Amino acid sequence: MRHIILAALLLVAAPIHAQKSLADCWKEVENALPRRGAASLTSATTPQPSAGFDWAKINDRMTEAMINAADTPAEPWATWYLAHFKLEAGEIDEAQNLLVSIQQRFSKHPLNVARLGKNGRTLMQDALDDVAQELAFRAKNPRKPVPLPVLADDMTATLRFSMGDVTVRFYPNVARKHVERFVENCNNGLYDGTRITRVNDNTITAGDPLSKDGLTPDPRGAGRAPNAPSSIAHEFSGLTHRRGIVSMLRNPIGNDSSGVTFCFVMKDFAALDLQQTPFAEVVAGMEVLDAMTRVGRAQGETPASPITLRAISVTKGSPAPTNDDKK
Amino acid sequence: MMRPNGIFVSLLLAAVTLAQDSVKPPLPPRPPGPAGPAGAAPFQPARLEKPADPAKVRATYELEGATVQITEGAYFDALSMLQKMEGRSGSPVTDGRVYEHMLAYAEASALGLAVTDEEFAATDPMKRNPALAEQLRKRWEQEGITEDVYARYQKETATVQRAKDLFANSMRVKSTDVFDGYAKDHYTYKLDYVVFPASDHTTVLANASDDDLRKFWDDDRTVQNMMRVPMSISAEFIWLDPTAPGSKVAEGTRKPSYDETLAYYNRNKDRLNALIPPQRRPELYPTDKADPSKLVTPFSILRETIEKEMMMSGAVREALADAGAPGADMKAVAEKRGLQYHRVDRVDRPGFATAGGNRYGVQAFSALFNLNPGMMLPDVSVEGRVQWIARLVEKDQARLPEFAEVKGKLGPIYVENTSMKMATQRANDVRKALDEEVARAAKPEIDALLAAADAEADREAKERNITEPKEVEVIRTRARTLRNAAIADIQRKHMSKSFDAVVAAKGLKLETSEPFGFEPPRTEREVSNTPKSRQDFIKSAYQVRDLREPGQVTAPMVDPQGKTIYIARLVERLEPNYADMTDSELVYFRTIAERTAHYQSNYRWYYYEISKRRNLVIAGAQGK
Repeated sequence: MRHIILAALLLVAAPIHAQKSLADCWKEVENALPRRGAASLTSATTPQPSAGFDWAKINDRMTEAMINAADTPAEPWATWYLAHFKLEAGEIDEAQNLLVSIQQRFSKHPLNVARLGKNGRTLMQDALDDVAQELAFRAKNPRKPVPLPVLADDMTATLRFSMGDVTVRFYPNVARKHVERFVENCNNGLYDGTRITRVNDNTITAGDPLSKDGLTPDPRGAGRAPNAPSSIAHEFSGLTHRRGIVSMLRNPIGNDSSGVTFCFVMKDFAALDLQQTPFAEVVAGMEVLDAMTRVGRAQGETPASPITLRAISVTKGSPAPTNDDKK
Repeated sequence: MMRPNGIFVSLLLAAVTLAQDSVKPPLPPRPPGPAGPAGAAPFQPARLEKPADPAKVRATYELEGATVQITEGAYFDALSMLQKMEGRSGSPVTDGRVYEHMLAYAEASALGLAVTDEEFAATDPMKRNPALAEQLRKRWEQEGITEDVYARYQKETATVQRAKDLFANSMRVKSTDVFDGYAKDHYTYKLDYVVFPASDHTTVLANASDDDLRKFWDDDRTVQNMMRVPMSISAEFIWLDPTAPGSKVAEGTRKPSYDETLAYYNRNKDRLNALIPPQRRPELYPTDKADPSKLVTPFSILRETIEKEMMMSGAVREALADAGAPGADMKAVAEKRGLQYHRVDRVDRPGFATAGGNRYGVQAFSALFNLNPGMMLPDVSVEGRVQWIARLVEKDQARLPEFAEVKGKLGPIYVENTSMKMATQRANDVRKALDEEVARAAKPEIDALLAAADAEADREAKERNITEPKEVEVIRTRARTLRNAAIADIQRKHMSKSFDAVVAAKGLKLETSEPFGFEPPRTEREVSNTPKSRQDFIKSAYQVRDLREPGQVTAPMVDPQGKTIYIARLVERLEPNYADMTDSELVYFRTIAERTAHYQSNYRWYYYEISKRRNLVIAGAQGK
């Protein structure tokens, strides 16, 4: 149904696009792409999980680009991309219809004739096969799509450090158990009086109960103090470790999440994805964390001057603070 | 040196992109060399030498079913462009990079992604920003870059980038790929198995005779090594630790001056810095707001300790001289000089550490063991804050004890080792009998299959007029090898029934597991060495994961903690439900698959991959 609407839009939009140059059409298509290709083969370019992309928005942008590119050489490419992004969004039928429309309307297009796919096939043949397989599999195995991470506005936690306050909000729709555990730890006073145990350019580690006065911090960051609760299963989601994210450290002994010690991500650091569970995000006080990274460091990346987390107050239903400094 | 740019660029574009215009007979293929499919060293810096014959074919590649040529002229132009635009003194453009660019551009163009002149003109920053254009022109004059080279480079790299973006954004991670990753860890297994516990043999072995034990002792090198008497020493030490409570400087000792103390610190800085107490280390990293009058240095923190060490170390040197005298009493010397005395008696290496020897450092035992009894270490040794001297009193080399010495301890070891060996032997016998039974039961079918393979090979030999017996045998071997998978299938088919037959014949009892999911070994329980129950062992035995088809039987699986051997048969292996996968697991396995796809999409444009895909053949070593 939606592809019919799209086709109708294409027809209606034909006169509009006439004002756009091919270069503009390509630019619009390229601006709507969520990924850039072949920057590097190193782990520094670990891609963001597709579960973290807002495919509805990306599809809207690409649909607009496709409409504007009608009757230009960029049109089949925009349609091709849209088909793939529909596939990512779980709209398999529409993806298939879009591919078929390219096959029928642009039968001489390189996508349909250039044999640059697997085993000397065309890219279109490979795509149609994959989409057909996906359709068949999903028909047999229906399940709801993975939810997009949503920052909840009904709860705020303010972490009162000796260097200033940091306010965070949570992602309970993708990391419910971690949010519950964090709040429980806060309410039990587990973090009160703990110190920042590790500072580097990528992360600031906090919340290790063993870092309180008179105790020795666990160098692995497991936070296994005698009174610490047990580890919990990871809750991976589309949340990537970008600047400002708060993430629970992994339990270095097992394959799960520490459930206690956490870190602030200071730089986009996707290599931590699938290693730790992100569960919250800083909404105010990034400048305080930035100041912590400038404090001198002793051995093992511990701050030379102790930085104490005096207390955490969790409030429900508070207004959203701003964080202009975050990016 | 550049030729007239417009003509040249047109010629190059024609040569590289218009595959149908440049279809010519291919060059004879070169055997792949050590550097990869292209046969040349692709990561050597390329040398820019104007070719004598620009039309000469340098390399060929395949695109869209046609063979495309790269001439020396086309290569030279691409190289000179890349050297101007990408070359840096530290990382010159390589041969591989030139081919990589040419092939990627050819592929992108074949996909219809080439950036047109009109598109380039519309986006050219030179045209949109005259100020920038002026700056760039000045720089280009110095670097010998013309506007044509710049435009061509921009268009070609933008075209290649479009192709890279195309593949990066056309990644299709299918649910089947995701589910395969999940299923591998979540199959449900049901097994039946026979058990060979070592405990079945312990009662008989408990009554071992002296002859049995002696034979066991003589034959088993592992047990001999385990019971070897280690080397041991007795030694006397005199030592001082200036920071230890109770250590005193002898009266009348001169206090060193500031300069002497500082010079001593500088000579021993590495060792002394390690003595800074952990609680004072943060003082060495003051904040911006720290009081300048309270700033400290490692030397200022250590000064008192160093002074004490300097004053007391004279006593250790004097003690070394005293103790070196014939018949000197170490204890008396220590008392005389106000130092500590310590003696260890007949201790081996671990015993030495626990008897206080660890204060002298890890090398102390070895140093002492190299002395003869009665000798002293020639100088004062320093370990951290401890200064010490030592004399070896006696030493015993490691030796193998006599049977009589160890006989009393051998019994339990004999029972444990021998019972495990006997259980393993029983399991191996069962597995051997199973293989023989399978071979017997499957023989008619396998023989028929091999006969058919031989007949087919003979027919092929006849058709190709091959009569030489050795060559015929090669064809037969190949035909038989092609049947290996079918033979394995036949053997597997008979495995289950034969297992029942062997178990019954040997009077063994089959136990059946409950359906279970494989437990990964990285749990805390797995890491510990506590014995597990039979079911627990089966659930984590890695051989179980190799069982795919019902009826397959494992090799004997040894549980060293439980002292038991198992042979298991797969009854069924069930796939998990896709719906059972949590969102977290779905994201995990999908992201893993996406990363692989992303890597492959990027790798596609690197020299090795693109030269292999396009079957690049380099004619010779021209230009190297």
